[in-house]
Amino acid sequence: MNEPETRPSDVAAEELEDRRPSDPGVQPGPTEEGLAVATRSQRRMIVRRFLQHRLAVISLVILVLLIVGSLVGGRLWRYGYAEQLPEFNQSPSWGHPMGIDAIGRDLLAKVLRGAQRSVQVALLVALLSTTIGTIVGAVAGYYRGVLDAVLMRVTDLFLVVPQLAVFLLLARIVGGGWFQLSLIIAAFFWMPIARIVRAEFLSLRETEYVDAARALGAGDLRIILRHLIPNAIGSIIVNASIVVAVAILAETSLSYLGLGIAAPDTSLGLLVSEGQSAFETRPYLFYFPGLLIVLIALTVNFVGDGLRDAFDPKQSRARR
Amino acid sequence: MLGFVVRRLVASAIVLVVSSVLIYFTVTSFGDPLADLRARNPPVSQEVIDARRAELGLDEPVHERYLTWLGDVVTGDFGEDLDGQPVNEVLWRRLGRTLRMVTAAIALSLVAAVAVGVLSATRQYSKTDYFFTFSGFLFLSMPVFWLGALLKEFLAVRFNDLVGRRIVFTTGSESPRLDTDVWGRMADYAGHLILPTLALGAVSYAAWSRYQRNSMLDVMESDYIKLARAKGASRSRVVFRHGLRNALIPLTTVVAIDFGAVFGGAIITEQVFGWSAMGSLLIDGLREYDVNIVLAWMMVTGAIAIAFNLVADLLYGVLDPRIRQ
Repeated sequence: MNEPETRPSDVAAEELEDRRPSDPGVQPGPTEEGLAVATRSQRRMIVRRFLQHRLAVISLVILVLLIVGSLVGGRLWRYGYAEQLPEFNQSPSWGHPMGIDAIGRDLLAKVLRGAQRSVQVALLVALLSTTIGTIVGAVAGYYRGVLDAVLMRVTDLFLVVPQLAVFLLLARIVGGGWFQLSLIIAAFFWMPIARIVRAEFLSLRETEYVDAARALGAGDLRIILRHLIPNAIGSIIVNASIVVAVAILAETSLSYLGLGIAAPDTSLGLLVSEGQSAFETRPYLFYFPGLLIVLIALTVNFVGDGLRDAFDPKQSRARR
Repeated sequence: MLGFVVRRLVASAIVLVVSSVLIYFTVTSFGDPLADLRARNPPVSQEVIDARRAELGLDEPVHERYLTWLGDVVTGDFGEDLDGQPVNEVLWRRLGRTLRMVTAAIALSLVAAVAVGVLSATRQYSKTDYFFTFSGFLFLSMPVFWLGALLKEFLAVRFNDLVGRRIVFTTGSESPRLDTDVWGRMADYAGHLILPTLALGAVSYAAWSRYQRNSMLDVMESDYIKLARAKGASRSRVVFRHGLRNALIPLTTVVAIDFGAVFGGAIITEQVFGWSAMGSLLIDGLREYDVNIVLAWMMVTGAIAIAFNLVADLLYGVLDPRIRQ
């Protein structure tokens, strides 16, 4: 995972790249600034390797469409999810493609709202846990010593407590809101990323380009942000993508159990649990939210797989 | 070896006690066991509430209540729930049911995962391999509650219609008031187990088959496999005697460690199939903030996870002599 020789940059190349924010369409001649070419072609190689992974590219397109659709769909649809209409218990029609429920709410609006909430939670959890994990791992791996020991014991503590009991208990106490729920889920998902980043940093901090940067007078923060994190970014991104998939499953499961997002708000998990009871009359209310969950998690997993191959072709050849 | 086991057990016991303190204080400070009584309409008089307080021992300070609880647990008594029923009784009965489901699911997914892992590894990049890879990803991405409901709707209903009898059951862990001999009871258990086992086992099957495939690929590239081939051993002998036996070692540890996760995943499966087992015990306990129930669940689950983690470490040493030093 962290062979230094597969790592892209050396310090001079980084510096050159910084000074010349070039437009990606123009390729500099190989004779002038050969180092800059090397850096950019590394980045381009990652993109190209990803694009060769056809399934991952298709998944990425579908995933982006799903996410954008989930986030803005509810706003574009003419009915609100909590809006009470004069009719109730209607079958699907042109005006209401999924029908109207027993208390006069448009069901498509509800499904769109549920998708929005689930996607929001998944993205926020990925963002939060990746940030926390990267910071903890970076500090532990870069500074080592006492700080490392303390941070890693805290990480271990989070891993050894009977997670599920604490997790469900916190969800029960906080209950309801999507933001609080995201915080709780993120609080249990940052540990693997912290460990991975720490391991990468422990080896990266010994590389020559870090020595070179330090010799040139770069401070700790600059070394971490400009030299170490860019070189560990592959593992970070791959793990963040996995977190999105796991987080959406965690949120929907919690909501299904009645410990996550609660009415009047809704989420895909809650919709499945409601749809299950109306399976005979409106089976699509069960299928559609469930299929959305599967599609999001599946495409995220494929994209993650493609990213893993793109960032680390060596590992993928041995591992696949 | 013994020293290692003892050290691990002591460390794990400390973790369990610390977690129980954490949970005890959280539950008691957030949950009000009398909320039900207070909210009752017409209102209950203060005397009744006070009497109930005294009965539940809520007048004592929290840390004293915790110590009493801990003292009882050490002797194997998990106390009483809010209704005054002993927790032990319901706990052991429900644990039996959950273990039945978890064991069946693990056995099924393990067998399937090993078979599929070997098949995919020996036919790497074939259509079979791609099919199993894709289905593995699919199962990993499918929420258990959705898969379970699908199985109910399609597999069970269709199958029962086909044979004209109810063989596959969709709810509960056993038929109520069952009045048959041992074989009838076994058949009834099995009929109730099929769907939950499939639903619960799917995720672990997906993860383990990927894992088994990779470890098989690693092993098949090693020198002793080449040597065995060079010596003229038959292909099946190389794959099974030399390859599979070594490729199983990493999987055993993973399975043992995952036992706790499968146990946790059973909460949702139980909910889908209406089993009254450990999952609903925890969910109901959480809903009512019944501290003794929540803690009993945590202690039992934690102890099981610890035991299996220890087994995983020991097994590794037993199976792979190189680790033993």
